[in-house]
Amino acid sequence: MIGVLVGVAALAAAVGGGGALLARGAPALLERPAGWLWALGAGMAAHALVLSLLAAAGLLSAGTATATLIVLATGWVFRPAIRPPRPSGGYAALVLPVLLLPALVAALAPPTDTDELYQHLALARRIAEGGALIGGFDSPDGSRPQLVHAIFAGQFALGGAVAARLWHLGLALLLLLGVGELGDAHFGRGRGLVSAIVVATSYTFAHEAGLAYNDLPAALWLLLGVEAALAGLTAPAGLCLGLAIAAKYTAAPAAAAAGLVLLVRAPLRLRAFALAAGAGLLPLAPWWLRNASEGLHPLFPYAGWPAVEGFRFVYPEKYGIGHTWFDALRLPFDVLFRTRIDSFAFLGQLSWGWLALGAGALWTARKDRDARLLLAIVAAGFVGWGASAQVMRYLLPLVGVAALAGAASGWRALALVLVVASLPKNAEPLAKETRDRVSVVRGAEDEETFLARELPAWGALRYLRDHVPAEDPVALLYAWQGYYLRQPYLLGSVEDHTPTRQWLASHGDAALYALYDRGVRWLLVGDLHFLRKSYAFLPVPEWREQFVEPQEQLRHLLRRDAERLHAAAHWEVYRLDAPPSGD
Amino acid sequence: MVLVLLGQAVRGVDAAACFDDAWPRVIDGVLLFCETGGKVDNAVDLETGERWALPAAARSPHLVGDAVWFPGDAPVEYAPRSRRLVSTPRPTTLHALVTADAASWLGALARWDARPLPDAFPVGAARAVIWTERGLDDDVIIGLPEGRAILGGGPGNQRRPVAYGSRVAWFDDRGADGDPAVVVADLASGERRAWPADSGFLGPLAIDGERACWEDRTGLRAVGGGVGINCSDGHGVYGEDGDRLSPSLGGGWLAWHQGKQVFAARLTAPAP
Repeated sequence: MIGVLVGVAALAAAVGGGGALLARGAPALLERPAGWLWALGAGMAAHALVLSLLAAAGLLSAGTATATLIVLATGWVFRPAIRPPRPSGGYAALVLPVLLLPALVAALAPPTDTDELYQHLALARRIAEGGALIGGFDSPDGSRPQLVHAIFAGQFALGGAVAARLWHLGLALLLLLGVGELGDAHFGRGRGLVSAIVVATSYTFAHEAGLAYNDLPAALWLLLGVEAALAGLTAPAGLCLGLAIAAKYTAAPAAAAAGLVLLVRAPLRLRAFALAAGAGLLPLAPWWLRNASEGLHPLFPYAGWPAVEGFRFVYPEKYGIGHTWFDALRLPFDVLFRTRIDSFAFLGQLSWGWLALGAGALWTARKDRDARLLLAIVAAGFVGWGASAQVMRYLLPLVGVAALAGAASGWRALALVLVVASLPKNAEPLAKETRDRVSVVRGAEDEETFLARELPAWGALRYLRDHVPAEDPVALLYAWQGYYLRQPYLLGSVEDHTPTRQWLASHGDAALYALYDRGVRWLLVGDLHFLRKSYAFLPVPEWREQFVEPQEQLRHLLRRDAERLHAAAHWEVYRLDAPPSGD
Repeated sequence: MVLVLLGQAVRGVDAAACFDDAWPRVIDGVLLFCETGGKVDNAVDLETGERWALPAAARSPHLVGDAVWFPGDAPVEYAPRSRRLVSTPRPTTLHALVTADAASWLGALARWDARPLPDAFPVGAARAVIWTERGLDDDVIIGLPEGRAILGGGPGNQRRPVAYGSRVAWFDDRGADGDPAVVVADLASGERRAWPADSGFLGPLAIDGERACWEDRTGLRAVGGGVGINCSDGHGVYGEDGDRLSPSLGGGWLAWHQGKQVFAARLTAPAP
């Protein structure tokens, strides 16, 4: 219950605080369509800024997080002129929260999502419990801009994972309502609701809405940034686009396109554009400077790190369906009709309704300038995504703008028909996830049983919880479940497991000694298999060198230098007793 | 103390790795191993070299004296030396099962509440069941008709118990002097002995009569060496051509897994 209250309170406080700030600094934004969304965006930015400063100073705690919320909420005292939401379709908009009910179940269930356990909730917990930011090669995701994770950390400090997830779910719902209202404002009454329904019935959106991720906060700020760009509002556009990029780097191509739109729509004044650029850098520069001051690449530790010859940080070729020019041209079709949730064929699913929205918007764009500009931004974002790792959720920062562009479509009936036609592909996996979680949410199943069933590594995590002192550092090798560790930990990795491979490549035969030298006495090791077919684009010798040999090397080192204390379901716990060979 | 032993014969058999690293095992001079798929499903007579498929297959069969019990919907108890099925379990036959919550007997009326490790297995020794109990430190527990008791405890973790007759052996990662050791206890006489054993808890223990054998990584820490097998009576198998893993003893034979083969050697002094 506390988590629910904290999640809702944080959003309400953000609207109040943001409204008060805008009422003083930019009252015209509150007058715009969906002015409440502007208040929310401003309040989120203020919330993130204060918590980031607190974390940077090592002062983030439940007390300071509470104080931050109270200060934000006092914005309501000043009675900012925030018009209440005007949902597209009126009462019909009640279908949106209904469509997000599976996400509510997800938000209330114990965390099992890989990226939450590795990054989003793990960072939130570590920042909340330590009171300070983390980062570096040991925790590379902590070296990205932490605006959203500062909010998650504040929520976690007050109400645990549930508070962070419910804040995110509330944000998702408000984003849908905002898209609907803006769609009506741009293109006519009722246009926005269908767009919002298409978004809500897309598995990738509905699946993520109930989890703590950074894509949808990026989507909200990107939407506001594009709105400001269309209106020629330079400073708000710059700030919101910068916030979007800070929330999620994958928003950058669309944000860049929105910047070009701003150039077209805004009066040409050098001072205004300097202000916009400065505003855009404001949410980003502190994090880049922080990284640079620590000897890291400004963007991300693994973007420019001590060279290990031949080592690659990421393999975007692994994702999607082919990377030839023909595949690129066919991508809009593939991303709707050839996706799989359980394979690297985009790892997600969209509603087919996007087809009607996109085609209809193109038709409208013949005569509507806003539609043309929105579609250009969406196209830029899509091309940028297509040129990188084609993971479906990396498109989510674009979802608000894409839905707004889709509101230009007059083919609403067709869109709804396609939504229904694609429901099996989108709703069935969601229904299965909900069935798996509903027992533990209802209290019919205890959390321990649920986690033992859903997390193969739970036995090893429980071993560490029950047997290892809370102050003993743990290294995660080919493992990612840091959220559930009581102990401080190093490394941790997902997908291509770059941190682990980089550690092994850099330290060679002394890899375990190097960990021991860092105070690590325990290892959580995943016995993973990198499938050849997942890396078919690599020559066999390179695949073996990058993926097979490091694992063989680690197995050799573990056999030589560590004591295995737990092994089950391909997860092992080792202890380092004495300085291993290599000293 | 490195002795490379090769007795009267060394046999190599093409084999797959078993899911359960307690297998392959030698039982009364017959090597039971995994031909394909990780389940124990084949056997070879180490004296004659004759090879045959077992009447059942399982990931983790249970030892019942000199027979093997294959769990399943239609469990099979099989004596490898005589190649016969045991038709009806006798009242004195011990069938031990490990479940998540308890180690219990089939065909007997003993049950003990337990928290056995997933990688432990109970074996019968003198009408007892032994297992590794999860706790702040892991201990070896013995279950007797009159109740359960700590057989191997103290600081550190005691694990992977195995038994032969009245003798029980286990790993202790903090032996009497604080270093890892193998402990062999005789339940009949009460005698206990310990040998330094740098095994890493990775492979199983093997015991046969007076002899216990285990994986030893001393050679692995030497440049160019691999994991070898060390035994309490001075026998050992080492080499630089890979790791020798999962030792098993039975009928005077020592078997181990190396690469994609299982080897077996008759020891120069057969166990009584």
